[in-house]
Amino acid sequence: MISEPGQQDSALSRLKALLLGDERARLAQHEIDLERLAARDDALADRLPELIERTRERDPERLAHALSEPVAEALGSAVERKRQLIVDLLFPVIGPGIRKAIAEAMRSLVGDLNRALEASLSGRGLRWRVESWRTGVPYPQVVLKHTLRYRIDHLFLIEAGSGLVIHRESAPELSDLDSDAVAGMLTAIQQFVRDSVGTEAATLDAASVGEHLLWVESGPRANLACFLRGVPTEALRIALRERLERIHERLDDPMQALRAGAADHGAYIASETNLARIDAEARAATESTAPRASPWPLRVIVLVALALLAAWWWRGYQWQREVATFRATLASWPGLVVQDVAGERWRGVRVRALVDPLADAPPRTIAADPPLPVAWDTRGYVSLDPPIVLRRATLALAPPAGVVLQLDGGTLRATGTAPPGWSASARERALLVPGIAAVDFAALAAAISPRELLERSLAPIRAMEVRFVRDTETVDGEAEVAALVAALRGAEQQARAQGLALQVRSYGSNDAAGGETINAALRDDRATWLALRLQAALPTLDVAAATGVPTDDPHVRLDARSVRVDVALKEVP
Amino acid sequence: MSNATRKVCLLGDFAVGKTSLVGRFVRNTFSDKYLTTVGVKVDTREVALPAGNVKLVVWDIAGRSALDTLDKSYLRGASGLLLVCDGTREATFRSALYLQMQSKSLLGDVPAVMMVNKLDLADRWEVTPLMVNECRKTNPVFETSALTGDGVEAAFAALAEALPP
Repeated sequence: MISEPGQQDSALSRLKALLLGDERARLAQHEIDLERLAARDDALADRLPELIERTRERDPERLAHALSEPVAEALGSAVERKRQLIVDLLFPVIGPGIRKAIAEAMRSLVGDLNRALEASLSGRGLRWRVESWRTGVPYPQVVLKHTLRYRIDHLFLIEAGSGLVIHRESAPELSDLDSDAVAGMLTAIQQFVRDSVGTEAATLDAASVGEHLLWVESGPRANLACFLRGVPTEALRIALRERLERIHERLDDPMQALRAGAADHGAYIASETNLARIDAEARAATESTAPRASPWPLRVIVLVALALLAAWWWRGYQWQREVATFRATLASWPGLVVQDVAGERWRGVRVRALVDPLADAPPRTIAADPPLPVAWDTRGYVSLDPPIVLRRATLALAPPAGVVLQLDGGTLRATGTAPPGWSASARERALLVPGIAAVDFAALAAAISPRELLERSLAPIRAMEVRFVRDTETVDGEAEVAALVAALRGAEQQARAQGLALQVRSYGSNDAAGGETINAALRDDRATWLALRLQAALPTLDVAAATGVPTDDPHVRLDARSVRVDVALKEVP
Repeated sequence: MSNATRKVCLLGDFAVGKTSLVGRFVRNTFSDKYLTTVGVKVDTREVALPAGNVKLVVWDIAGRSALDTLDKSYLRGASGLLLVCDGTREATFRSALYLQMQSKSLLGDVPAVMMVNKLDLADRWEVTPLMVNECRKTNPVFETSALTGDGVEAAFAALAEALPP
């Protein structure tokens, strides 16, 4: 039996229903559930933002807690997988933050440097050093004690958007201030500045008018405005910043706190903005971060200064000694009268003095190390110093060799041997020399001239004689003539040395016996006899016999049978 | 000591008398020069209400017919608006409403009162009663005079009353 196709399907369906009815029903139910779940997921995707917002309004803490973990994990995953994207996104945020931190650090560093320089190099800094030594208090603390002269007048915690004052602290004795208007205006000006600069990150951090200073610490939800007087430290700003950060941690919604009259947060905010605590914290931080002063640099400076001072003193002492020695030298300088000595250590000395022309040249340098020049301003005068007077007398009198002049008091003494002519002239001229009051030439011997000496040496020759027995028969003629010749030769040499010549004349003598005519002839013979022998022996000598000499001639002797010579000096023509 | 402090902004076209209008009713801390330099002047006004005093911090924004970026930054955090127009110039009425509409994008629906100024020149008004009545459907409207002070106290009180707690 063949059934129709429709009958076959129906039968199969019934069979399926019998066999798989329960499974098909569950399958259909699953399909319905799947469709329902898909539809719900689609709706959930559309409604998720709304649901999150509603949850945030109802229970923001629960939402934040629920999302914190997946958001953190998602952020970590994003950093790993799309690092560059994260860097690009964070760059505009981190960059200004880093720049601001660097700027703050540099500003603080410059401030510290300024304070250090001011405190180290000024007279005030030295006074503080002395105070530190005197009291035993470390120098940085002394500096802080004197420099931390500031006072916080007002402190406003201001809601960033509206400019409304969340909390206010003021110094007790200050007059009333419309803090809401001030905070509002300050916020308006900040917004004006920000809008003018065109950068959202730009903030008005500080403003000053005279001794009044306004510091503003800006946060995303609230700002701290601090009205100050004096010179605050960076530690105060750091303290304000830290407190503002803590306030931000606690104050999620400033406007809510404001609407609630800050009842929930009032105590906390009042504690964070307490002026006395901020002040104490800032001062403590400043003192703790103040660099410990090392005494060594100052000690080295002091030692160097003392060494320089000692060197300077020693140089001055040496200079004074050198000048004193120089003065003493000048004081004993003959012919020099010092009127003034003015000196500078590095330039030399200038001397104003009277100088005798006969004085030795005064020194041109002073014996310093190195020798320094001496500038002279001199005028002439006549010195009565004994050496100068003696020098003047010597020049004026020109004493011959063998004469020694000495000055004893005002008396000029001459010793030695001098020609008689010089002595007489010098005696007269010496009294005209300034400084000589008397002349004593008693010890001066008269000098014998060479001619006179020569003259004197001729006397023995004149006494020499050649004796005769009779007529021209000599007693010892040869020997006596030889002696006479030798004496005349010596005299002739001495005379020639003086440019003179000898003139020799022989005179004969006789005894009393015999007549005068015979005796006269005998004297002539004897004179001629000797002259001839002398001429033979001394041909260069002017020798002649004196004949015809009368008996009254002093050369004629009438008691001896002899012949003698008369020797005279004559000028060589 | 006030129980609450609220920021309100004074908006209106140029020369509608905003500053004169509130000048007699606020504590003048700052000079009017700020209006021409910074573009805003902040004063305070304390209003006594049955529920307690409210201190209004009034931001008098320099007059203009439309808000620029700086004006909008001045509006931030405002709890209410004082809209001021010159009754003798109809255009200022429209400007005040336009300013209110602009501010909604930043502030949302905050309470506002309209002050139609120069009541002492009522015979020369261009702002008609019909326009005033139409405006009352959205904002309380007060006819004020900076010269006599009429309506100013009431406008401040109405705004303070309408501010959220």
